[in-house]
Amino acid sequence: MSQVATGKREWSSAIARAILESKASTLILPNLQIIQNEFGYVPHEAIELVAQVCNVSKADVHGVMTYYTDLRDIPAAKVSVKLCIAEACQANGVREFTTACEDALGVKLNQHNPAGVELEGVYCLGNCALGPTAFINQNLYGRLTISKLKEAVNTELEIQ
Amino acid sequence: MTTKVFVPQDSASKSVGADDVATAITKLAKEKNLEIELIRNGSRGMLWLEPLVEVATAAGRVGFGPVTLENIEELFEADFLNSSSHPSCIGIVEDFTWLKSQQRLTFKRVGVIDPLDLSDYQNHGGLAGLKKALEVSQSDITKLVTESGLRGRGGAGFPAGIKWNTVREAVADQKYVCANADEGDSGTFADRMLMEGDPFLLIEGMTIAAVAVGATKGFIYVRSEYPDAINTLQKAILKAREFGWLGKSVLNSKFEFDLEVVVGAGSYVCGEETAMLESLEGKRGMVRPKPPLPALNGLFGKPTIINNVLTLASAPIVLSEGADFYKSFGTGRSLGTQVFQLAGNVKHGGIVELAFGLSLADLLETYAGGTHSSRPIKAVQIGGPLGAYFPQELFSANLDYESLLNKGGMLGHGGIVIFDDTVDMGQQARFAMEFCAAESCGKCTPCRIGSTRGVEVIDKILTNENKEENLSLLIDLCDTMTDGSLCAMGGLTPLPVRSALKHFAEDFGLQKEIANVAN
Repeated sequence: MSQVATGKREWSSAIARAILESKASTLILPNLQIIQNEFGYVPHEAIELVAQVCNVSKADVHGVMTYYTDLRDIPAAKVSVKLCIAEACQANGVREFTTACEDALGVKLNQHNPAGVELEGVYCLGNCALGPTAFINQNLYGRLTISKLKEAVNTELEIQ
Repeated sequence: MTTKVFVPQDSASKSVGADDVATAITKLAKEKNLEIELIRNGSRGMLWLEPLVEVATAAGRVGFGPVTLENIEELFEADFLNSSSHPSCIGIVEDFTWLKSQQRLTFKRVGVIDPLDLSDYQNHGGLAGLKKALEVSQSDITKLVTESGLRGRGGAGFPAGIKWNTVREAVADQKYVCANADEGDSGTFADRMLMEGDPFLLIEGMTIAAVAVGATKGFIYVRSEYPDAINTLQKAILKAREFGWLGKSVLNSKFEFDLEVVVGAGSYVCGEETAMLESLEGKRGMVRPKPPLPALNGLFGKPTIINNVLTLASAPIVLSEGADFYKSFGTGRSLGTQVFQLAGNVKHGGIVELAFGLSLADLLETYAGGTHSSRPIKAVQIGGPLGAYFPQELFSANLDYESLLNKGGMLGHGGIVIFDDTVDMGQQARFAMEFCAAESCGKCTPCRIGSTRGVEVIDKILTNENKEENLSLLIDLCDTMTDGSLCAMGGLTPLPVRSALKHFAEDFGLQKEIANVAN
């Protein structure tokens, strides 16, 4: 996978090291977040780098890396659809809607399709009176319908 | 003459097109040579009307909603800047019964002001609480907060003043104030709306807390799902620094205080205060045993105030209006106002801030207006994913900490999720376990493993496999999770499960009498 999400750099351990050293945090999570914000993901090589910067073991960094669902070890998809599947959206039929999203995008929940669209189930986006709701890349949608979903995903694919 | 037009910038409002509406209004006004000043306010919390556009008039702000790209042209044709004739007009917003009948203390400025305009904030009573705090002694502040009866709005309901006083009395070279803005409960969005709509109020509450205990550094731990709140808070902090509010000398006093926003990384348990501390320290968000109390041994081992956003945001009004004013709202040991959030399958969803003491039935009848699907309400989940499911028979329950506890529920962060009669409560019980399995931090075995076993056992009950045997296994598992978990994640996951079994036995293919052994 060589795709690089918009606004993200191609991975480079030299650049990563320079950025981390300039930020000068010795806390594990913020360093991992800096890497992910910059490159779109945290490649395996970054684990050792963060361990050095924080003066902790690779196991400590690996532990933090695998604990938080936001942190990803593969490059970001071109279009990320984060669909809320928690109770308030369940009350608005998100169980059936999830299946409809899978069919419309040709991708199973928590996977991505060849066009680079990823459908992820998440718990709560704080838009609980206007469900179903999802982030499609940076944009939040309420009262989401399949036609709105398709339109938004296509727009994002064109931008990429 | 320039007319002021308000279009919310709240992310819920944006999720249904507020940005496009704002752009279109600006463009059309220009084309028609109408002079307007467009202000992006917070949301009034009437989410079914979003985007709610308001026009300032001599009589007050007139509202139109929901405004869509499709009806904007019509609005201009109906001369909405000067006339209320368009069918989407709701009249003067502040006279709109749904809003007018509320008792907004914490949310009084949300939707009214420009969230990042510090003079607007002060013109609407902002900073009065902090100024008062700087006039009195530190012990007077904690005494006032204790007397007001303010309790933690995150869910636990611990008296805020007692917590503050513990931190105040602790002797240490460094103390911290942390705002818990990891609002992960499904059905809750009040913290988000407050941070987006009135960020200075949270900063003021935190500064008061810091002054009271002598803390010089504060953190706002915001979940990553709230990018707009993060952005708004960061801008507000910069403005507060420029103003001389945050920094070496808070409003020219001897107190020093500065703030930082820390972004979460997608973990529900980090809303639990000790897990949040671990996460703030950059580690896995795993729960710590208590004691030691975070008030004495908190962030980096230092005395730390940790309060929910709404708790901290209630402090300024306690200071400015006094403890007696605050506790004149509410009932029994639940004093002040509660910010309820109507969510799920609801016709009129949004923010309802009222004094404690009204019943669930009142709230649903007066404010919810039924379901979005227009079908009858079957169940209501109160207090997030760890809260109980209530059937119609329990709607008479009063919405305060103690009454809900007596009815087998909990208020939590005030989220009310409404389900219509198509909901399958067996699946909801299953989801409670599934959610726990996904989000458990893994520290306590009953939570880490019990939740996975819980999903399996519920599946067996739902598919009629050794039904009674598996039911007693599920009950045993619920007991173990309740008694054997350090925090509410494992300890309260059984609550939605048991309440679903108790009140909706038929959805499990069980008779009520058999299911009732569950409780």
